[in-house]
Amino acid sequence: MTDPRGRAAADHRELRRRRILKFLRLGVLYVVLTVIGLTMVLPFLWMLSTSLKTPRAAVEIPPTWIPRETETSATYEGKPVAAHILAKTALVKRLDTGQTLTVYEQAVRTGPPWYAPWAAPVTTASLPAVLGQRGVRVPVQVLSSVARIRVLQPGPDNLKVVDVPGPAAVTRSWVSLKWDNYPTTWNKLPFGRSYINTAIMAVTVTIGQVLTSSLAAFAFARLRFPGRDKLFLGYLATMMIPEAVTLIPVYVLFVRMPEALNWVCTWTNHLLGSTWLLSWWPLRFVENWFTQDFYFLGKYYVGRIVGGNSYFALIAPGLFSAYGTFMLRQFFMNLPRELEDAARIDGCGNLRIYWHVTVPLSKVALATLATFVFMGSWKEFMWPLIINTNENLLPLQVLLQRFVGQHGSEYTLLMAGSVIVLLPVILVFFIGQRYFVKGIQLGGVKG
Amino acid sequence: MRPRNRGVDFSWGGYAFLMPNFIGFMLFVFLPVIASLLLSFASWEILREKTPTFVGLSNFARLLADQDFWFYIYNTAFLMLGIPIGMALSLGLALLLNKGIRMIRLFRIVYFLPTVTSGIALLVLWLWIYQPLYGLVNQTLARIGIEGPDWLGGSVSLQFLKDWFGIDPTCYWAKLALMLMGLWTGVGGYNMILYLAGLQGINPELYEAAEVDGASSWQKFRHITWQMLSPTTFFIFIMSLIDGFQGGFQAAYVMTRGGPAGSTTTISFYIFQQLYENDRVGYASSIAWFLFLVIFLLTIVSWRYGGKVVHYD
Repeated sequence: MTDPRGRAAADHRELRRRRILKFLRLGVLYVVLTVIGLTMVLPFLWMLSTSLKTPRAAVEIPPTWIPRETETSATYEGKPVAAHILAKTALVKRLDTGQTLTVYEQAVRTGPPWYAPWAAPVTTASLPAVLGQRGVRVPVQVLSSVARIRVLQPGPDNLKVVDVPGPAAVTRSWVSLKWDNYPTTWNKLPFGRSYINTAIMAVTVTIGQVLTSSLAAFAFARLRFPGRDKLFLGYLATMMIPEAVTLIPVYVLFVRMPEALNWVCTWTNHLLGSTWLLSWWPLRFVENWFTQDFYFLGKYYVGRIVGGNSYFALIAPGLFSAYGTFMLRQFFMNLPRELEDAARIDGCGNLRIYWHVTVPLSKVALATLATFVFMGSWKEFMWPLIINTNENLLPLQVLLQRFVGQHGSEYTLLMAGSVIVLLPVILVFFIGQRYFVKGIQLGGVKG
Repeated sequence: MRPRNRGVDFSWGGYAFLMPNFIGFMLFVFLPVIASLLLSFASWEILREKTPTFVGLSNFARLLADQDFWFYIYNTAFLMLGIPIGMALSLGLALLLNKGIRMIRLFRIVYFLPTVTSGIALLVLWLWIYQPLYGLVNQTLARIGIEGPDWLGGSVSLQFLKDWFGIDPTCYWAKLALMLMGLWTGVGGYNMILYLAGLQGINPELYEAAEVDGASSWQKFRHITWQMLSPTTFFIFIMSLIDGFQGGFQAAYVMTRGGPAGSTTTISFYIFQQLYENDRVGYASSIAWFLFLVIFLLTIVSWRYGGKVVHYD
């Protein structure tokens, strides 16, 4: 017969077992998630760490995470000299076989065994692997050590390679953060100007795109007009068009913009000049304006402002997007209509409804779009690269790419440059991170 | 007179609201699409010639015979192998995050960091990480006793291919390196958040019902989670497809210059080279249109066939 008390105890044990299992599983989960998180973060820390190193510390093997500087000096013939240690070897006696042999000093380690950190420290050496055998770590006693150094001191001994007793060669290393890398990088290329360019670009594009997209989205979501849904489908379909397809003619347009304007101006001039209008004598005074200035107007003045190397060329294509329109339309569709109807009854026009009802209600969606657009235009690379050859209008991304071209092997400076470029993006992300999740879900799930 | 079917809020003002966006749409999307179609039938070296010359279909004929072009298509397709892997990893990550853990926001921020910072700066960082002697990857490999390859410039000759099939293709590490970098960048990004949203939208009653029926956790995943997530998966897949065909420009331009031996040149980088470096506007347009057609067809096909397996409730 079952004993009720025994069964209760068994149940209790079972419950406890489950709880422990659940706890363990959760622990494993956290460990896995943290490891993945570390893989995401470590490259950034590596970037930061490298950007604070000296060029020599950056290529140290094995690499250090905290920037350190090292300096080696040795006592040679009784005098301290600057030196470079080529190799440090130690004469050791194996405690298990009594054999005496020479090993590199890196192979000798003093400390408690890894499985018992509390135990007394022992000196061990990992013996060089013989062919077909794995290297082993054995307890040893160090008899003596020798350092082979190259003397770096100017003078007769310069570059001489000599052996000195191990303790005579000392490597001193200390933590040193080289903040100097940042101003150096900043001054190597016009980062300041580039920052301003990128900021102008990103801010204008953000404001413009949010404005045009929200206006269009309002029309698509709330107003009725012939062909509305077909137009919207057309907008959606354009999301499939590769960037390259539209980019080429727009590139052509901007490259040829001054000529195009000039062409327009010249023809206007011809047409106007041939009409009787200009033969009316008071207008003879402005004839010169048409023949001369109109020509220059296209080629030199207007072309400078809206042609290839201009802010206009950098900004204009970014002011409109099908994606933003789509995202905001999805959001506006879900807004309650009652408020708008009330406003309409009170005699508000569409524009006032848009500005005083819809916009305040959808601040979150607008902020979301703004965050996305800002990030996107901050990272814009291909378009500025193609359309802009003016040194003064380079955005950060293109500037950084040039920096790679010019200082390709100075990784400390490159990393400092990358940090400089990334900082605003990371800041905006931390401020606007909750909008990101919302925006992705809004633009994605309903697609 | 027929009553016109117009609602109370009918207005011509709709056009006015649409106008700013529509002008931009016409100027920078609609007209350029038509213009590039026209340009793809023309030959035009824009910096030297004043006007384009009509050459008929010869751009496309040249395209079909262009060995490089087909190689770059292969490159693009190869790099797109990362898409299903990345999607699986994103789904896995979303599943882990959905187990009711704390600090989910912190994890989400951290996982999203590479996606949000992607750009030239990250490519420069990876240039340093892949540095053959001092880079983080090879140093880490060295610590566990593996001599890492020259990730962006090196190649490996696969002996077994030579032994078994008698072919000797040189396999460049760069493709793998770019794919790994892409995985690192994208795994915790948009896709994971979409999957997470999808997971949170699944009705828990479904799982309870399955538990009553004695379903194993694999069965629950296969028949509930996977089914309910299929719209999300489908959406992500199509979007990644569209992006994938256009991808690879920045990495190729900043990190490898399309090399070694053209092994990281993707179609978009080829278009750029033709347009900007070789000044061949017409040929670049025809490549772009070819790309467009491929994307269009693939999207239509996956819409047709994918629509059947996707489960909407």
